[in-house]
Amino acid sequence: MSTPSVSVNRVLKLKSSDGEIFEVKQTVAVQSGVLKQMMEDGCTEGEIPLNNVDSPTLAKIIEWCNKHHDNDVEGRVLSEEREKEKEKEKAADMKKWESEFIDALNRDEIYFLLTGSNYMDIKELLDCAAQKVADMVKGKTPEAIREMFNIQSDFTEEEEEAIRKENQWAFD
Amino acid sequence: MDITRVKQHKEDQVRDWATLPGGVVGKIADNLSLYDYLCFSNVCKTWRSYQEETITLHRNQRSPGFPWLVMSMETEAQTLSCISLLEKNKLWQFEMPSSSGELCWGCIEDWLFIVKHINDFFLMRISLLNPFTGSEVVLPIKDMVNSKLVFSGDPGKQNCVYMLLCYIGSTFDVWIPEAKHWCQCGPEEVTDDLIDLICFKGSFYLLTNEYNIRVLDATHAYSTIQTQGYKKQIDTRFHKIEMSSDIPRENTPCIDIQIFRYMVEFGDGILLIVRFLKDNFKETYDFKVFRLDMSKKEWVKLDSLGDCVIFLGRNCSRCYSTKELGGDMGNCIYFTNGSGFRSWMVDDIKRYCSIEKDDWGVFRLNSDGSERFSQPPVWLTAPLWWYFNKFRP
Repeated sequence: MSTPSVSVNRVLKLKSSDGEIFEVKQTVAVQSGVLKQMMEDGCTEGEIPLNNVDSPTLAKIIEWCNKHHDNDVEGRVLSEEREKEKEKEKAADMKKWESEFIDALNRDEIYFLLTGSNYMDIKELLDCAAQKVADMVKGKTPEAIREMFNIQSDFTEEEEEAIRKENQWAFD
Repeated sequence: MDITRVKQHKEDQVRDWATLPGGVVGKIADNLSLYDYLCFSNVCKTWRSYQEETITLHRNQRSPGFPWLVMSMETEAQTLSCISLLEKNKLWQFEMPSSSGELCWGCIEDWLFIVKHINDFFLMRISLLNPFTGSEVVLPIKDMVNSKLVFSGDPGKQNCVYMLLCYIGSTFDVWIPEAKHWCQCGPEEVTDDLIDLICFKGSFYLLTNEYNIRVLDATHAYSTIQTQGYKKQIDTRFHKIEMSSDIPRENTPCIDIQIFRYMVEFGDGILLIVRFLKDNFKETYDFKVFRLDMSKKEWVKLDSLGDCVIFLGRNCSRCYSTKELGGDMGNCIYFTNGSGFRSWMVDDIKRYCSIEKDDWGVFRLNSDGSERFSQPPVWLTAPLWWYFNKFRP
């Protein structure tokens, strides 16, 4: 065992930025690189404050981790039985669940999920959310992307002018 | 723990997309094609600052840029109209700086290859014009029996070597900026005609009619001309390449074998595209693709281009990855009218155009047909640096 302090029944108490406490099985929590490190260092007693993650986001993150944990456990049993077909099916089901999970979120929720999964170092969730944003961005001009995410352009007039001058000879 | 109850984010919480951590912005960027990536990194300074390293990488490695179509091929026209394949409804107009009567023969990367008939002795003025930088490189005068021009490096630079392929026979010409004239070369014994020419990894590769390859190292050519003058014959290295597929070796319309052959740089190697036509070179109906295996000295048939897309051009063909372009262009060959007319004489071209049918479209490998458009354009590569500058705040 690489992480002897992790036991099936033990739970971690996670405290969101707005003060709510969430209990998570250690076996689920290992999906977070940050929590895994804390478990290995043996400093998970009491409440673990997650100052950058609010409760709605933390709930979503835990929903994701629980789902992936369940899938992993079942997956192991199935692979022992060498039912590879079913394993494939499981993977497809998981993909479907993931896309439904992500598609149900609004823009704000995706933002907090990105920052939350990045802060807690949950690679798969971050990848999934990043893919969603990439799909939203595809085929859009910088102006359209700014509009979508309510971002103000912070390029200065001078920078704009410099770019314009550089291109003047051609096509402008 | 109750995870089903509806939770609301506090209103005062900051959700500023511009301040997303670099790691997150990078993850999003990883999932974008190069074109989308450029738009994405020009959204705001913070996002762009995370990308500087990647952007520098792309700038330095001579990324191919993106494909455009130059639409207007009229010899009297003062403007060239270009269409980008990636930006919808975008038309770029480019004023030709010099006098009329010039012919944009084709494109080489982001350069226009322009010829102009200067007198009655079939002599042509040859120049390269870069519409993105405004640079012009004037090459020595040459007669009109040439068909294809390639160069080994950056045309602005002193060490760039140019090669011009004669469209009849087995000769070619080499020029370096220090030389007064073209250096005419050809194998001592005429074996088989030269068909196509590309520059690949600093060497010129010449395809012969029998599918063999002649190779000339550009630096070798440069030093030979530099030290011994343009009158010195430069030798090529001959490689016999096996072509096992049963495909024709000649263009003989009378017995109904009509093909055009193109070499294209493809990742780390060279592809040969064989284009099959009918009705006296007027209609394309099939393509076959081969990869050059230099170690086994053979052309290996490919059934798929994977996620690559090839743009066949009269003077220069390019291969892109859908990772760069996005979309579902993979495994496709985009083609325009073939080199049905090879003479640079304006009158010949006018005559040819009057009888030429439009033959351009998209061909997906292993599919039965090809989609068709209706005008004969050529491909131009819009350089990446220009794209970096173009996206305005």
